[in-house]
Parts: sequence; structure tokens; C-alpha cells
Amino acid sequence: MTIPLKDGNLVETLNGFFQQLLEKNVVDALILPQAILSGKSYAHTLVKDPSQIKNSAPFLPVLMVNGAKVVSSLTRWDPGQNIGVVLRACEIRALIELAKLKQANLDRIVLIGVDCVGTVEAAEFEKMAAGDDGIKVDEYISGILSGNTANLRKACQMCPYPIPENTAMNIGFIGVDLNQEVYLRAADEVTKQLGIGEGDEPAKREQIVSKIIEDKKKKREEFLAELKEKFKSVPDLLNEFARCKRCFNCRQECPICYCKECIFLTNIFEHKPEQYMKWAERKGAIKLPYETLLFHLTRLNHMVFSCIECGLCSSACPNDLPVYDLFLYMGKDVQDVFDYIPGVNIEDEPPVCTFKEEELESR
Amino acid sequence: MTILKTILNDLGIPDGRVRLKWISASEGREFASTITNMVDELKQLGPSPFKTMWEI
Repeated sequence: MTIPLKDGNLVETLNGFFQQLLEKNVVDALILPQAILSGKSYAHTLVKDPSQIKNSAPFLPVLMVNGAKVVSSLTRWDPGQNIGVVLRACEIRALIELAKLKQANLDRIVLIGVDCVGTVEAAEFEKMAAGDDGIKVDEYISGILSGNTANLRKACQMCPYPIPENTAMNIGFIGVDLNQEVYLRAADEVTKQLGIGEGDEPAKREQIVSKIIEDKKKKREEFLAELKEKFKSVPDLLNEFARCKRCFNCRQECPICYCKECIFLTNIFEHKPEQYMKWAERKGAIKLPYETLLFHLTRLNHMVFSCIECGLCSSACPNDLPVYDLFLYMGKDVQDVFDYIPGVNIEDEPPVCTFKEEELESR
Repeated sequence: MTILKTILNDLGIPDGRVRLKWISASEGREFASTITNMVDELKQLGPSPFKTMWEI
């Protein structure tokens, strides 16, 4: 069904919808992305007072942080209230992984999914928002749907999840006329309680969504084939990652990397001076800072089975390393061995949480 | 181990270079033969590609 736009204004209509969720007690609080002041930036906000929903921006094409981390911090124990969270698919998939890994709890969470056809890097977003009129969401989206995807983050260019799953309700823009209406999928009791939503599923929606998924899957396959050539050996990896300066931004931004104390921050990697001398003597020379490659290999080994390919690792890298590329490539192979797709099915146990007497053979 | 081996295989490092085996303190013979076998296999594989690399 759809919600007709109030006075032709998308933001006002969405504001009204979210305000009603609070006013009619569908949820006790809401986490939703809102544009901040000038609209040049946005952040996830935790809202109790409906009047503070002024600038809801679930459709803005930017992902500053993966919202799964936000929800994880709010559910370390029972928050005591039911919280609706407005997230896109990569955030929901990360959140599902965190819940399986016992780093988030979904008991008090009402998942509200939003359509996403891709996001741009923060700097690009700032440029887009700098114009006098700000961002025209409808124009931007129709641009992407007509194939104008060059500015999208690489991860978004090949993300086959435009519509979030495992949600209590979804709002969306794909296949609807954004000058007229917004898509809504919710249980009958909710739409009755809110008194909104009318009509059937927009006619073209399913077809457009399947096309997006098909195109992006194809692009992902092509890219994986390229990566197979790019990461063939350890020297290939060293060539690509020699610029790593161990800032750990990738680990910081990764929604799955949840360790409170990363092993790379412990004294295990605080070597004695004579140890460095010994390595240098044995190999003739070593690269400094040392163990940048080991850091990436260790992080791969620790979490790549649950990597949901949001690509924020690469977005966070100051030296433009292909972190997402590496995790996409290795993640695919590891997940294939375990026949595991992270973030899709809540019932599927992650490989590291199950015990099998016989080790699986790697392929 | 499966995760690690999959990653290393992708990078061209064969299975035989990494292994994990649980051996009890009472299984001295098992321990000795495991190490002997591993050394033999490693000799066949030749020096580690990491030996001269500036990293790892």
C-alpha cells in the first residue's frame, strides 16, 4: 500500500508517519536518520518527543555510520521500552549478525526497513548538499535507477539488497511516484491503528526491484572475478596494502568487529626492540610499521564469515585501501565453504557459533 | 581452521603449511610422528614464501 504525500511534501509526510508511530504508541521511542540543521549532514537520532521529528531523512543517499552499532549500544541490556529503528538493508543485516553473535538484542526492537539504491561517500554527499536547493531526493533516486551509478560507493554499486528483509514494516520509494506517494508495508493492525496506508502494492515495484537485484548481482559476480586476479598471492596483498598505516579506522567502522579490546591494541603486538632487530636480521629488511598485513589477515580470520559487505571499512580508510574488495572476495569464499549467507536468516547460526566434530574441508 | 585455510588457499598458501592437531601428553609416539611427517612435507614444499618478505 502507499501513503499519499501531504501537500506534495515528502519530508513532511515522512515526519508525520514517524510522529504517529510515537503518538499512537506503536513504539515508545524511535531511532531514525534526520538531517541536522542545515541539511548538509545527517545522523541517527533517538527520539522520544514527536515534535523533535523535524527533518526525517531515511532516503538520503549517505551512510555515515552503520546503524547496527547504534542499536547494539542501546540493547546491551533491556532498554525498558520498545524502540522502532529505521534502517536500510546493510544496517539490518549487520544488526542480525550482531544479534546472532550476542552483541545486540532484538527483543525490544521494531525493525522499520527503508529502500536503498545506494549511498555516496560523505565528501560527495557534502558536495551534493551544498547547492541552494539541497538534495532533491526524487531526482537523485530516478537518476540512479536510470543507471547513473558512478558516484555510488563501490559496495553500493553491487549490493543486491535494495529492500530490507526481516522487518516489521517497510517504507520505500522504488516503483512509486515520489511526487505523489510513499510505499508502506505494515501489518494490518498497525495501519489500522495509524489510520494510514491505502491501495495495493504499486504495480511496477516488484519488477523494478527484481531488475535492480539482477543487475547488481551480475556486477558483483564480475567484480569477484576481477578480484580473483587481484588477490592471487601474499605479495599481491602486500602490494595493495603497503600503504596501510594501522589507523584501525576500518576496524572502528566495521559493524561486525565488536571486540571491546582488539588484540592489535594489546601488548601482544607491542614487541621488544630486540625482536624487531631479530626480524630485520633474519629477513634482511622489514617494512615499518610492521604487521599491517597481519592485521588485515587477522581481522579477516576473526569476522569475514559475518561480513555483510556494507563497505564502510573502505569508506573509512584515509589511504584508500581496497579493504572492502578484500573482505568481499575472501568473505564469499569462506561463506561458501560454510554454506552461510550472513544477515539474511535469523535462524542460521554463524559458523563460529556451532560445533562440528569434523572440520570442513576448504574448497 | 577452515576459515584460516580458505583465506590462505586464496593467497596461494597450500594446506600443508598450517595444521592443528590435538595430541595428549600421553601420546608421545603420535606427537613425534606428526612432527616428523610435517617436517618431511615442509621440506618438499620448500622455503616459506614469507621468509624473505618485508612483512609477516
